[in-house]
Amino acid sequence: MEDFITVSEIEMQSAKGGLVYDPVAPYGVTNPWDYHVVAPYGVEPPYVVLPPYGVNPPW
Amino acid sequence: MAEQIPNLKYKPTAAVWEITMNCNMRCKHCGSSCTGPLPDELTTDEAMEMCDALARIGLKRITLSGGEPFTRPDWKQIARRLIQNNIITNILSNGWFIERETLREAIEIGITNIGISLDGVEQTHDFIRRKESFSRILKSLKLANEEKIPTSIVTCIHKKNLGELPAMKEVLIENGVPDWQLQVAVPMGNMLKYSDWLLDPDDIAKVIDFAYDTYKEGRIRIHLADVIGYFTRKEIEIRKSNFKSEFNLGIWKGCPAGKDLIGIRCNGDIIGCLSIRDDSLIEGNVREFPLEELWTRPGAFSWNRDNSKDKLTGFCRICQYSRYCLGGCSGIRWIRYKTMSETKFCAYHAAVEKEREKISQVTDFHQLVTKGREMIEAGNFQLAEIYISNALEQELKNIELLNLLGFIHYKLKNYRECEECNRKVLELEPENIYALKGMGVCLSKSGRAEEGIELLRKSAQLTGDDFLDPYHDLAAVLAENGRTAEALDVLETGRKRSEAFCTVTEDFYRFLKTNPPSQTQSQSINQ
Repeated sequence: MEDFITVSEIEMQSAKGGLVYDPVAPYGVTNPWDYHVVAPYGVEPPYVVLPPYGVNPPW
Repeated sequence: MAEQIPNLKYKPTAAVWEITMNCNMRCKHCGSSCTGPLPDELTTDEAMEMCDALARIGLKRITLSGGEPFTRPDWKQIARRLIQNNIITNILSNGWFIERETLREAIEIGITNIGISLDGVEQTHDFIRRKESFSRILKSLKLANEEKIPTSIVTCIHKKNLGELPAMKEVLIENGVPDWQLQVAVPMGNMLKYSDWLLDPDDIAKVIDFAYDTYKEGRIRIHLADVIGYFTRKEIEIRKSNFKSEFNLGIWKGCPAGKDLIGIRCNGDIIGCLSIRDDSLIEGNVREFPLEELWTRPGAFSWNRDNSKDKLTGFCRICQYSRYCLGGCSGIRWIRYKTMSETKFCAYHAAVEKEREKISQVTDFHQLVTKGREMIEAGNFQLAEIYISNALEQELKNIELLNLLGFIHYKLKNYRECEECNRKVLELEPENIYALKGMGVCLSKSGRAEEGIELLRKSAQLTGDDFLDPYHDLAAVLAENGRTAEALDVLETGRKRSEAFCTVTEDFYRFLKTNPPSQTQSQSINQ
């Protein structure tokens, strides 16, 4: 499972404003990196992160 | 040049337009089952209007495909008009008709790139497509190199060619191909007859491993289609490599159909993505409605534009990543799995299912609980959910485990499941402090803040000095709703009850003290 990025890494990058990948993969376009930068779908804004669900797990 | 409509909510970045169904090949995996031109294909005049309408909705780039686009007599006229409208245009071809003159015309018009489909080494490719088509492609690549027009290869992967990818790579590099896009065959059109060729979800990791090794070699650029993913470090690194932005994390952000992407069929039918060959998802036809109307009218592409984690089912419903990917590629989940709400064709899903299989071998209750807790401490809430759910099957009314599972679902942002766990506890024990608190924060996150605050207040009233988390959570929810003064009051009450609580809430307390209400609301707490 370590092959996968963690959600906290995603959130950290998101907070930097960097969660951007335009997924419209072209059919063989050589320079796809000039796509516009847009907010990703389904991603929340870069909030200040504090632990709202209590300080401890329930044990 | 056509004038762009300002302030569109959705602007298509890319389009794929199958300008004709006419094709000189009968490929075994062809999703469109192309043969000859259809009788209702857009006329040249209608195609010109389409080119202008695409510019008006702000399209940036387009791929002309088919069928075989070079068999449409007016392909040059269409491409020219698109380019005059500042739309970056390339052509995806089977390579059969590419002659030196074709390439020179493409360069003169301003085509940026010729994409060519290659589906295996010679024997396999010719078996899938047409005898001699492999050698024709090599000839086309040679001509393109001589004429200095960029080419790329697109490969549709299935079990017949999965093992040939390394050999294909060498052929492409030898022939000077700079870019290679990998995609996956789906069971539609002719491919329905060859469903035993389809990749299994376990094969995705093999494709990603190959792509990553190739990317690291640096001899040819690799592009992964939307259907290949998701959330593996290797895949992310490949996606990231294709973009210049230093902030780009390379995360695949969800199906672009009808948001960033528009599909145009040869008869003017508009669909979110041409890879989803299902007439029920056609938004309309440009002969009946202007493209602008089809793209912008209320409810357009709602099956994807209105998609959310709440609408997903199965594993995607509780997956930690699904709020980003929203269930993966729509084409494969709809065409192959007959649902829009879950995809099994996902590297992460496949990996979790393997782990689930292993965990199912564990039958000892205490071992399940211990492992579940270990997973929580390691931050792996996805596997923790499996361990604790399996333990709960042995003790359905175990309050500690229900609370634990509620916590896990909260961390996964599965608020409906979290609510269900807390509800079960409160049915068994109406004044359970942890469940009241859990339900409170869960309802708050679900847009029912007042109900949540009420439950949190009750939890805080009932709790003892040794467990003051309800004060923290109540303060957090109040702050999140812009009620900073009340939040501070609650937190101070809790802090008077315990020095330990003062220590663990110090940062939060300072945050509330130094942020006025409006700022607290906009930067509020979110986890």
